[in-house]
Amino acid sequence: MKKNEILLWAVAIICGILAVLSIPNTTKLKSVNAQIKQTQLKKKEVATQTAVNSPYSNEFDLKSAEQHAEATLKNAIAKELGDLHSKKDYQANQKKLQAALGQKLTKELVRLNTDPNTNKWVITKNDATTVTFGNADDITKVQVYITTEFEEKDGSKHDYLIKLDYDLDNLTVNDYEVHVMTTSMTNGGTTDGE
Amino acid sequence: MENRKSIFTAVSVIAVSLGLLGIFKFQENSYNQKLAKAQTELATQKKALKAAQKAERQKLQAKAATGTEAQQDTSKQAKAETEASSSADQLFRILFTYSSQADWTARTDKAKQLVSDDILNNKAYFNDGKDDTGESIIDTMQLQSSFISANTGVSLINESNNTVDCVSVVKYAAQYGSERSATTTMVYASTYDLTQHKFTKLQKLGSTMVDATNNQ
Repeated sequence: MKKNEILLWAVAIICGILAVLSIPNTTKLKSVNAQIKQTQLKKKEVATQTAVNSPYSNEFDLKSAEQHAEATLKNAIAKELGDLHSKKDYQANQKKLQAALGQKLTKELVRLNTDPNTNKWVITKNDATTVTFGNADDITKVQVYITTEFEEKDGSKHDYLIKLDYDLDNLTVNDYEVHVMTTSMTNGGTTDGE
Repeated sequence: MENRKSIFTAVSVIAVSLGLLGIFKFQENSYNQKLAKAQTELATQKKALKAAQKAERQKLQAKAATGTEAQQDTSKQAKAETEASSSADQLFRILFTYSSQADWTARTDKAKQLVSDDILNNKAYFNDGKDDTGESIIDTMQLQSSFISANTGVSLINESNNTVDCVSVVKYAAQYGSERSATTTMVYASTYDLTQHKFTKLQKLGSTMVDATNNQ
């Protein structure tokens, strides 16, 4: 082959590759179109779907469900972060706590009550626990905000925010977040607050 | 002869490839237009779905208000929750939106409808924003704050005094001169009076590290 011929073939191959690479990709359009169809379908079924988990239909008693949830959650959290002073205490209440909070959250709260170095139980009492509920348009997924304050053996007080994704129909915890609240942090430079 | 054939093939490959490139480019253009149209359509459909869901919920709520005793209780509780959380949203928006001394002072007037006199007179939330010499702290230090969101949980109605307890997780971004601070998340406990339609107690519990970007 001559030099020119090789060069020509090189150009031909590059052009071929470029052509293959520029084949339009229609996946995105297909996916958007599929989403449009799905949304239209959902809109058609909006009446039935909204009613399924709405607190206003099926004679669901929101007040009574929230009363149950409040009592269950408040008792379990005040117990776990206030009334458990030994492993024995915990074992005696474990089943009840797990039924109310689920296994994972129960374990997570045990960690707050035990000193990681000595394994001793540190919380002496629970000062206050408040249970509040977010929007309940879907009773199987309600945001629950709980604040709790407890005291430890060294006299220190601690405040926590526990955020739950909660199923008010079955009174079970779908998901949770536990956050410590600190008062020492500066207020972002504002002059409100303490 | 061999040589000619090879050159002819190579030129043909180039010609076909260029032709295809042109066609594909044209197709891509029309595809992009279709995609843009489809995306607009999707956004419209999603908006319509949300509106339909809202309308449906309102319909159910209205029906419940005159339904069985349980439905009426549900309706009353849900109404209280909506009122308290939307008032909390308004209050924290007022508290955490300012960029000058004038804004700071105006907060008190704006919040008058939403809080009791006790809270309005509480220097922790409402003050003149001036230091001992009468200078504006806000202007001197170039303090600014913008409200991001408030997510509020509401307790069961306390029947004895027609109030609800609230827990609000409030996010805002404060600025100090040209230094921009990260989003701050502060948790507040409050009591909302359903008769007076005002907050009668407000307490700052502390800051948390609740995800700064996620607005549930």
